[in-house]
Amino acid sequence: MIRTNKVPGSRGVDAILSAGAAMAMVVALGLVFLWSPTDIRLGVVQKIFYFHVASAWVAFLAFLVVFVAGIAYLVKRDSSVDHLAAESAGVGLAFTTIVLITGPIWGRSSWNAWWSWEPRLTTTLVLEFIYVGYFAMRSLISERGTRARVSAVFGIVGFLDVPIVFMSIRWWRSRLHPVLFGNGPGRTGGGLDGAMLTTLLVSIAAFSLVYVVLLRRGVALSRLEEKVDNLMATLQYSEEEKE
Amino acid sequence: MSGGFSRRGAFPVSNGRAPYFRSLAAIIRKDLTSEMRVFGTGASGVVIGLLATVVFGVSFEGGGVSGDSLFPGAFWIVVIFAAMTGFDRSFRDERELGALDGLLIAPVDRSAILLGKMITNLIRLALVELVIGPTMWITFGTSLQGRIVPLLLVVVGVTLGLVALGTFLGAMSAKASGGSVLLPVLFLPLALPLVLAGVNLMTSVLSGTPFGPWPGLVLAFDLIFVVVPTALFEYLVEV
Repeated sequence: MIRTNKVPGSRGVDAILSAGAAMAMVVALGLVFLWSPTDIRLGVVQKIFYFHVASAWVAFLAFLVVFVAGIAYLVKRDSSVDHLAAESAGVGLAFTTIVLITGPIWGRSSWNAWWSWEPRLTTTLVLEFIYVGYFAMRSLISERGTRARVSAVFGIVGFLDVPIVFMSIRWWRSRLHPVLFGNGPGRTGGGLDGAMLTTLLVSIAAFSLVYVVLLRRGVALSRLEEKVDNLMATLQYSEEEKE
Repeated sequence: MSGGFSRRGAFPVSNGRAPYFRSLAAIIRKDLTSEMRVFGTGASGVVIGLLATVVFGVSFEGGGVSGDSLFPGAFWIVVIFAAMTGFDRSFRDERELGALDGLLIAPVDRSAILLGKMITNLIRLALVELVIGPTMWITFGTSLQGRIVPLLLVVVGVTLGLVALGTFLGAMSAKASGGSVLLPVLFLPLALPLVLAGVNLMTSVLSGTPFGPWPGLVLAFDLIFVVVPTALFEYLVEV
């Protein structure tokens, strides 16, 4: 997945992926607004659920990638793995923000409150803060190798903390969030209609494709940035030699 | 925990290395000495803790909040803010005059450096807690009688986790330039579960209600954040 050099045809891969993501998104939107049934109790607002859950899924996937890439970096010491982790964290942060914006909109109509300090909402918020910290740290370490190592370690530790955060808040506050899958005791949502499930799965697939596209673009960009940095350094060096 | 130089292979024989606990004790002694040399740094945690206690006491005065319900939240918030003043320093100070490089060259297991600093921070924070705990008890009018032992267990368990996580993140933020501001940003979100556990357990002790799953969470947190940082520390300090 990671290109270390210019691979002929990789531009083509990106084009195909982008087109696929765009198409999947259109299909998902069609399913959400035209095909899937409207919720009896919540009405049209329920439709935000598809993109809300899909964003949450992508965010989690992205942070999992940061975690795995962190381990991989410490083992392999390949700077492109560090780019992968950083870009994945960035995309994850963006999608976490989407979750945090769509969540309250849903909550307002479902719970009659914009915000609730319940497990999933609070965990998502904490998740956002953990990876904001990740970027704050990256921006404060200028030496590239150190930055990669320290962020790899933080990416590992931060991800390990997420389940603990979730459990702690779950115990702290009773459940208000609908448990849609499985037979949780807070099963107020009463499960998902078949058409709704299909729509959700298509939305998740579409969002995952968007994630892959954004990730590849981001990694390509940061590789170019690294190249420019190196060129500038060489240029400076050779100019100093002339003098 | 042993075999600290295995990665770099600088010292293939372990015979040339000081015994683990002796080097650990030496590092703790060194850190405590430098803590106490400068009154301002050593005592700042205690002073900040006391000042914050005053702020809490005044803010909630007359608000109809009983001492029993104020104590747990106030205690942990004050402890956390007092703690954060030292976590960053424990590694940042080592950067001066290449002190950390000296430590790394010394033939001691590297995990001993981290563990030593964790224990120093533990002592420092225990001191803060020993001062602000009784102060809050008296000034807030909390009814602690007969609950001292379970309360101490809660404090020890939670403090251990806070210190383990904080010292490790301190090692990280010391790598960043101008990053004393960085430590709270990294520390607070990660420490949240432990704070919730601390407040909940203390409330349980004070009101005599069952503990629920919280002791398990504290144990798990302590274990994870002592073991994982010890394993990863090598990667943080390598030059």
